[in-house]
Amino acid sequence: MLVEARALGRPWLEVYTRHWRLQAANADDRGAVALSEATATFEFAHRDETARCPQSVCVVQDLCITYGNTDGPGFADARIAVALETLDRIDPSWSCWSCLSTELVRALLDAERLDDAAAALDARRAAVFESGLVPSLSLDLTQVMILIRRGRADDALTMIDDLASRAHPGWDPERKAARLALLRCETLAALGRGDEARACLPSPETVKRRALGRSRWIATIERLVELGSLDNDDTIATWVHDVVDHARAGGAWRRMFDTAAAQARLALARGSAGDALDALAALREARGELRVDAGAAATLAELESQVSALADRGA
Amino acid sequence: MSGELRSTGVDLRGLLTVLGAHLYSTPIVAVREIVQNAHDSITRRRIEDPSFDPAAARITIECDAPLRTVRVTDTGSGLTDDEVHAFLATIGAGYTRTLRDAADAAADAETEADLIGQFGLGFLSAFVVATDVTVDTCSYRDPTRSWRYHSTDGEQYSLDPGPPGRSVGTVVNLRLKEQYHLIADPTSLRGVLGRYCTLLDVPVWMDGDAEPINAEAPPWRDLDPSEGAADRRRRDLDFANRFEPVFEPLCTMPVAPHPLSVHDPEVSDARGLLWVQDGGTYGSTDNRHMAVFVRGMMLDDDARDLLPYWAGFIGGVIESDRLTPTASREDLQHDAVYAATKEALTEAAISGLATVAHEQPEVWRRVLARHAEVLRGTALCDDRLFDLLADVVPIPTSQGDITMPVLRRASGDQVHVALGAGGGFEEMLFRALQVPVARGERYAVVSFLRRYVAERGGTLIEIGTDAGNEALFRPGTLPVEAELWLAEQLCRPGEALVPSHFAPAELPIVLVPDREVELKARLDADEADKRMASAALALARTYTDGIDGRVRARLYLNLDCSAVQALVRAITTETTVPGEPGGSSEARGAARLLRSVKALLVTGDARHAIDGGGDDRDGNELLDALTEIAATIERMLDDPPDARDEG
Repeated sequence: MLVEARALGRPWLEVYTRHWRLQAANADDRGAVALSEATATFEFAHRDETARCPQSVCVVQDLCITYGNTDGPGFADARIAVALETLDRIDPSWSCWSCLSTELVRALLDAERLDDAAAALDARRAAVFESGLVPSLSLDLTQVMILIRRGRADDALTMIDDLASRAHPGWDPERKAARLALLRCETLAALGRGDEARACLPSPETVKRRALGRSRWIATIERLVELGSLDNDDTIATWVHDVVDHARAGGAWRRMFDTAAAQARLALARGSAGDALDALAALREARGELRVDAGAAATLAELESQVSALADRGA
Repeated sequence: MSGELRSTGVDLRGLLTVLGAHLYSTPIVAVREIVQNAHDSITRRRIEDPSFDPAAARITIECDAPLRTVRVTDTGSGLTDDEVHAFLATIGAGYTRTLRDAADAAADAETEADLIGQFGLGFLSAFVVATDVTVDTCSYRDPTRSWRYHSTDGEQYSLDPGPPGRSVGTVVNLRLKEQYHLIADPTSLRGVLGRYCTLLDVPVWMDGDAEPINAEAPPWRDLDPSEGAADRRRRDLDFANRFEPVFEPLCTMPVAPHPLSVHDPEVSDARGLLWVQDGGTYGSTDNRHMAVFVRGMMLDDDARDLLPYWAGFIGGVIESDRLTPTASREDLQHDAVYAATKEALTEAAISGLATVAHEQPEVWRRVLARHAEVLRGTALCDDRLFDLLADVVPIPTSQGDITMPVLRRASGDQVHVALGAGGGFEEMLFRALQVPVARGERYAVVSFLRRYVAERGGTLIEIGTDAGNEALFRPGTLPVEAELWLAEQLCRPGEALVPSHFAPAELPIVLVPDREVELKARLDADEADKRMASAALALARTYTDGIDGRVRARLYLNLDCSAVQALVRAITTETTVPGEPGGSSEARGAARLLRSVKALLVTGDARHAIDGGGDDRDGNELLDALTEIAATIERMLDDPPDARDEG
């Protein structure tokens, strides 16, 4: 469609097409590999012939998210500034209000500003209500994430049940169900209800098909292993390895680092020195690409020590 | 709070308005509802009256256009006076529901399947279209008495004894409102009922007709094992033609119930026909058309979402006993059976297309010709479809529409696709190449080619992308001094010489702008601060700050070109001008000519992108090039080779 938009000489159509391609890339955890296109699309969407296209605002959001995928904490301040600046230009009637608000909250969370994130979300939801509209499912799902981060897992579960019972026109029902399933799994795991969480853990195929958060999925799997509700076996090792590879292919360095750290911990728990060493290699590779440390050095050092001890025992 | 319980009031007029005027989308459904009631009345009589002769089951419709009347007569159970009060004149309490509940309790699936009405709302629709409604009815339970119901608005009614001697059954008379007089037009009504009632198992007669409008059973209900395939296809096509509103069906594909549908209530029991339409489609055209019958009555004649989204060239008609209508009975509930039916239709379409391809090759060719555009996209939606279409669907190229095997043979397994809209070096290269180049701006071409190459081998060269450029221009080598000399002669500031090998060999040079450097230049320009919000611009510049902006374009020098080879030989031999590094005067002249060719080949847009320069520079360079070419021609004519030799 992009080629057709260019052939037809329709710049707004090109903005629209490039935005949705970036959305797909963003949902697929594409970071550094998508920066060229995100930046080029941003520039294209601000030319004389495209500046008035409504999707040019969405393109700013795409740029933000791509940097977030590359290294969330590394670009958190810049993303916060961009999200605030852009939200000032629009109002809740814009469909990207919800997406930009979600991105603002995520950037604040990446900056370890949990209270500010919760306050920002409340302010944006209030603005939606004042406009006579209803908060989107995206905002509601973000609210659930905030509740989980604040240790209010019971409230999160109640909200998930409520969201599941309501209709959300415009949302693909299967995608909605998949996202709620992952959130429910995270929440139950946080509550220590491992067996219930295990029952609703999405499969790798669902994670891929519905573009669910891969690193959150792995984090939940690690928690389930800790709870004894999931066997730390070769299957898990393969799943984690695949997510590390996926993050590498997309240049999603922070997620690669975090997932490789989980990979290392799981390998250590299994007593698999080989897998642990692979994980260390991935950690070092990802760390080399991070923009800010945000605890990466300490994590790496700790894991290196543990892996070394395991390797020595094996020798 | 007093705690006293009260009953909620009902504004009957308001409720009738909402239910009558807003529940139904089109006034013709009133006739449909009355015919459905007639059918259910006959079903009731079959169940309850052992003396009823099934052959006597009949629904007759008469209409008088000048008088604006429609009459529907049935030979069903009729109603007693008590039943008129309880069921006809009470909203939501139709007798069909009672029968259905009884059948459900008795696990009588057959009876349940025979009943159409569900919500007790159907009769209400009569008051949407009519100023006057009369119902004459005689019950099999009391055949000596008949009754006449009469109402003008549905809110109030009268019930009086009817004339004696009336036969068992019911007659509904509608006097239509002026704005709905067309419902009484016999031709229109026959056409509408011919579609709505075609699958009813009770004969429906339009008065004066020689046979019922639903005389012909649908082909899937009337399977004859001895019937030949060609005859069967003809019959299927005839039936499909009655339902396809716009196009003529090219070929049909059967829909059969799921093998487990007898045992599992949530699998699809749909049966019917799909067909490929004989009408050209573009990629995004959605001509899906699906008529759905539930329990013999058409519920929805535009249930297109039951077909997969890629089936924009397919129509169909199905019947089901399990799909559940909504309250208006004009749509279907999206429940598990709906999802199962949708899946069944997708499978029927895929297997049907494969069967047509295998058994009717001449028809399949027509399908490919009519729907080439959309089929390229369709091929990407299912692995089986891709296998079916990959080698046969036409691909638009610079040399016409050709299939993939032909395209691969013509280009030695390197498939080229042009992505550009025109202008730029891609356009020039695309024109110069002597192999067919696929037109990437056409629907689904790029996606289709990528998948084809990924699965079946070959190389895809996307002209205009970085990876495509790398595949086009294979690196070559030159002696260092020759390379430096050529760079000095041919390149402007910001251009880098890249010795390469590429096709066609006749093309000596190609200038390719660096898109990243272009992007950097745009974002670094002062103008960007005026167009873009500051925080967003700063974030974007985070990326471009890492780009080295010194090389704005690459000049690919074709070492396969004989002219370039001659020039290289000239500058690497011993025949140099003393005191001047590299090339003789002839070599410098050749280099100037080559520089002129470069100026002609680089378009204004590409030059602007490289320089960011103004028109004057473009014009000067072009003029210089033309001057040089002219001067070279003059020199050749003034100093011909023969003269030089003799000199």
